[in-house]
Amino acid sequence: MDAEELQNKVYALVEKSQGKKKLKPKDISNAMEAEGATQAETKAALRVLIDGGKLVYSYFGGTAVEIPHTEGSANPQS
Amino acid sequence: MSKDGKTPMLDELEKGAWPSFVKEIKKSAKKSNAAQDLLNILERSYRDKVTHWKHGGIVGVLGYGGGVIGRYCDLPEEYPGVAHFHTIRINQPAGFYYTSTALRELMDIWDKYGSGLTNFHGSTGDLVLLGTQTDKLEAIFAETTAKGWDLGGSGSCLRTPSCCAGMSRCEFANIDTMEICDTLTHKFQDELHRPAFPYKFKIKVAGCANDCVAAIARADMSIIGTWRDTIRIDQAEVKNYSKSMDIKTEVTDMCPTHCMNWDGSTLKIGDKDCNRCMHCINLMPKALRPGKEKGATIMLGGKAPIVTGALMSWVIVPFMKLEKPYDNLEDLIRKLWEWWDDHGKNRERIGELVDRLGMRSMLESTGLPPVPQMVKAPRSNPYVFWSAEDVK
Repeated sequence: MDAEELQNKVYALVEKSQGKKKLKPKDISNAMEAEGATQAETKAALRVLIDGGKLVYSYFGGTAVEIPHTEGSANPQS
Repeated sequence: MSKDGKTPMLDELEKGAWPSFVKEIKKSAKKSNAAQDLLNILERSYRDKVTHWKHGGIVGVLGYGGGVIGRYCDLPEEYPGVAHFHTIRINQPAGFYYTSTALRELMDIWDKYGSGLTNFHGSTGDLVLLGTQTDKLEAIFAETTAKGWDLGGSGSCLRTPSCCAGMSRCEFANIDTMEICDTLTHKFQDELHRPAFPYKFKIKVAGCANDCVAAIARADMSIIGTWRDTIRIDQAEVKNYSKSMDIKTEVTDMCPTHCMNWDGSTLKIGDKDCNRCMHCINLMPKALRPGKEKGATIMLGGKAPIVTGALMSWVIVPFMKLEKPYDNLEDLIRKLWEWWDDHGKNRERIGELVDRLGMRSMLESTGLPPVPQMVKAPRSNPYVFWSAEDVK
């Protein structure tokens, strides 16, 4: 699997889980491992997606990876 | 806040001779709406007996998974100054040393974009900037990093490592705490800024067993400077101390392992039984000094009560020689993370995992040998390494 394909798979996985389950980075690397990617490759793919702003980290007790969105608790900026 | 803008309950906290956070926030409130509304909403919380803060979220700066902690109040129309009140963690310098110029630059940035309120320091050690808005985060990040600062850790990642002042100001330091802290911070940038662990992981480095950074209570990995050989004794200085203190009562009788003897003229120490607690050295620093073969005791598992109760770190390596570039320490930390990553549940600290799976699992996966110093609860048999096949 090349790097771009892996990034697409990671993004698709996060997109599918959005609103249903908060995926931890470890959940993503485990899922991608099952698809044949190493943990290091998934880590690199996540880095590209995060640095590019396609995915973001969120924190609610533990860290999760999500697609950027306006969170429910966010107050409008005055 | 009452309708007349007064804060009678908070005002009570200004009374007394000690410093008051209310007094300081009031000073900031003269020029900051956020600080004023912080007072107001706090007074309201005291009156309502409920917090008005919402926690968590998605706020941060591009590429970083930590360093910003989202905070919103649940009454934004009434208290617009704190509708957004995010916290920013700045990675503190090793040993908490600052130049006044660096602090002025940082505070100028904070006055420009934030409430002007700070914590020196958070419990992990970061320099904490309290209260800003989402749309200011990138600008703060850009300006602070341009001045050489970086964000600290937050979330399920390596939290900002911290250390005591060590050799820079303390004769008791057995290791170069500041260099170790700085080296680990740089080695583990990815783990600090890109959360990938089951939960937080804190590293603190103390130069000696006095543990001025409270590493044993507050860090998942406590690195405590110690020595392997014998305490150096200057008998003439011991005699001098005997003129001004009762060595038997204050020193030898207080020794936790009772490995010392003072007969009125000579102090003897049974170093084999000494647990390097520093008590005697603290009381007679001119007469006693740590040995010459220095290194660190590595301890694991300290944490405050969140998912389960509080734990103190316990020994996993009684003595490790620590020399640049600290590859042995890095190797151990990475092995521990790998084991924790493989077995840890979400929000399970590494100490809790050791409690759940047992030391056996941790020792086998890291290759650490079981040693008597690891025994936390004698007679509970924590290190039986026979497998089912061995006892057939």
